[in-house]
Amino acid sequence: MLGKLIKYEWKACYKVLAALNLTLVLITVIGCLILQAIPSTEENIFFLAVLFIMLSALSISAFNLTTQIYIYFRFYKNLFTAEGYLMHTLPVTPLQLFHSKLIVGYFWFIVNTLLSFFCLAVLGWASRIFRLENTRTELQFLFQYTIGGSPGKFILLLLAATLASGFSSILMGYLSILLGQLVEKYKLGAAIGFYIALYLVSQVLSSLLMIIPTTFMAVADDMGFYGEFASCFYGNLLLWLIAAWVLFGCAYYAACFFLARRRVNLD
Amino acid sequence: MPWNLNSDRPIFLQIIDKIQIDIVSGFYQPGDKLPSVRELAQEASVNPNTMQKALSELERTGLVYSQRTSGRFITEDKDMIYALKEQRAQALAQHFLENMQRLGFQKEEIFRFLSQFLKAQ
Amino acid sequence: MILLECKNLTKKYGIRTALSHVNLLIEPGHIIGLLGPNGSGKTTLIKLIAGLLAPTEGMAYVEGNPVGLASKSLVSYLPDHTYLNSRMRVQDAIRLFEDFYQDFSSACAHDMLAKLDIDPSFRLKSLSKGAKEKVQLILAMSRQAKLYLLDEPIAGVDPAARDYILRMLISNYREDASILISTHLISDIENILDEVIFLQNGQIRAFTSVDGLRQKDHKSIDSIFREVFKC
Repeated sequence: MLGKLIKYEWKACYKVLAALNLTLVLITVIGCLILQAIPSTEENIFFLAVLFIMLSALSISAFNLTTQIYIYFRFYKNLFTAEGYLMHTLPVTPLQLFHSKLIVGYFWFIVNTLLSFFCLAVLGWASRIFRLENTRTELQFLFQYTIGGSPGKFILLLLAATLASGFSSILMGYLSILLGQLVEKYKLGAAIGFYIALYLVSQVLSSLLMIIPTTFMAVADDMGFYGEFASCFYGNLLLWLIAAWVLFGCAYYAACFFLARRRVNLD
Repeated sequence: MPWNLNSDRPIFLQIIDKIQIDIVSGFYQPGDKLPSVRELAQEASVNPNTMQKALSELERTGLVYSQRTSGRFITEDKDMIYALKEQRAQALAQHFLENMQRLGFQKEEIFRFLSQFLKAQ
Repeated sequence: MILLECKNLTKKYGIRTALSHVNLLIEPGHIIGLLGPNGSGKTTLIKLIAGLLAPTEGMAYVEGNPVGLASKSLVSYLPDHTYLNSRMRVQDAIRLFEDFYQDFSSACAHDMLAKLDIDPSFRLKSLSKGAKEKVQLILAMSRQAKLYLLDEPIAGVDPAARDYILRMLISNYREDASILISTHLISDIENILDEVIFLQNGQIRAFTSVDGLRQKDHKSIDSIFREVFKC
């Protein structure tokens, strides 16, 4: 039954999400053409950099956010509005419904994030700002200190971060919607409220978690080992973040698991 | 035959009436097979349980008999059908008489009126 | 054999009680009208049995199974509003039902669609309100379920289609299944019922045989209803 649910969930939302991702690709292609059309002379560099940042900010934030909101919306609409009358009378368990949404939503979330990174890289290449002497040194520095100089390791960490942050983001949205269902009236409003609250709490908690590597860093600095510990710090920072996302994701999952098993109340 | 059931009398009684009339009027001949409960219920737009109840009642009076596998049949007892015909005619006549008396007709007047009426027809 | 049992079934919304300590036993082989004025708890009762509401107290059992996975495969539910994604085609909805319900017959569904002149390749959003209701009713009735819960099944369709639907309900009648129909169009439907439940203020006021009631009061169920619930 879970397989069938996944099949129908996929059928119901692949068109919208594929269209969103294609738009992202289209914007990137157009962006590349514009960037390439501008000659990379010294005086144009600043302009190119601004354009690059604008384009990437637009495509990544807008499309990531839209995908995220669409996935949340789909979860809410399909399970807790009129369509929920169909879904919740099918001979499936509430957990199967939840997992079908989670798996399909997570898949698209990851696809969208990875595509965003790819588009960012392509736009960066097209803008030619990395050919500048000082950008390159900055990047080399970053690579060297964050991950000991290996781009492969960097990509691996980025992938892990994407998987972990996607996991916790999706579940945070689902959990907010499930919590909203506990409220007697204004369930959607309550869900948004819970989302904001969860977001704030997770931000505070992850900042607290960051204290640990930051303390390491400060101690290292005091002892005069800055160079050696800097790489340790940046590498650890990302690892700590990943750990935090996984931790939050698991907590959200446990809460969702508990809430989704309860019987629904569709008014 | 249209069913014309109304809702303020028990439906099963109206079904019995209707089938009795269909039998005495010759719509169903002695020994004819009756449609199934489901078909009759659908035709009359009534609950199959109600139809079943009416047919069981007809069976109890002997007007209809059932053969275990092949369904329900109209009785072949012509005397019985004729007796039913008379019984129904009697009821109609009784009804007519009461209504005429309510209008103030005496028995002799009713007879005279009726024979004139029949001539005119 | 008990098909549906409600034990002390209660649903409260805050301080408002929608359904109060309902006890009900329904046997297979009946077409039962669930009648009551607006707000008497008809839809609440049906949704509790369908598993769309969690009871505040008590429980409903279908063939002895508490409402849940096992009961849902025995119950065919028709809500009083549209519940299909409007971008779906009629045939997609049929395929969905076929995929999830083992007792669903798509041949039966296509047959009824043809009789009601609905093209299965149409998208639901292009259908009229009445046609959408017909599609949903066809989906619900094309299952060989044990308990059919029909919430206002004929409210939005024209009288000619109404007659067809009533005949369809009769032809789908099975001795091992019961149909529970909530409606306020009593006069249209009362001849196909054999039992009625009168619901008032969330409580069962009467649960009786239709012909018995007619014999007792010499009135149609419609007029009895009008008298009982006179404003």
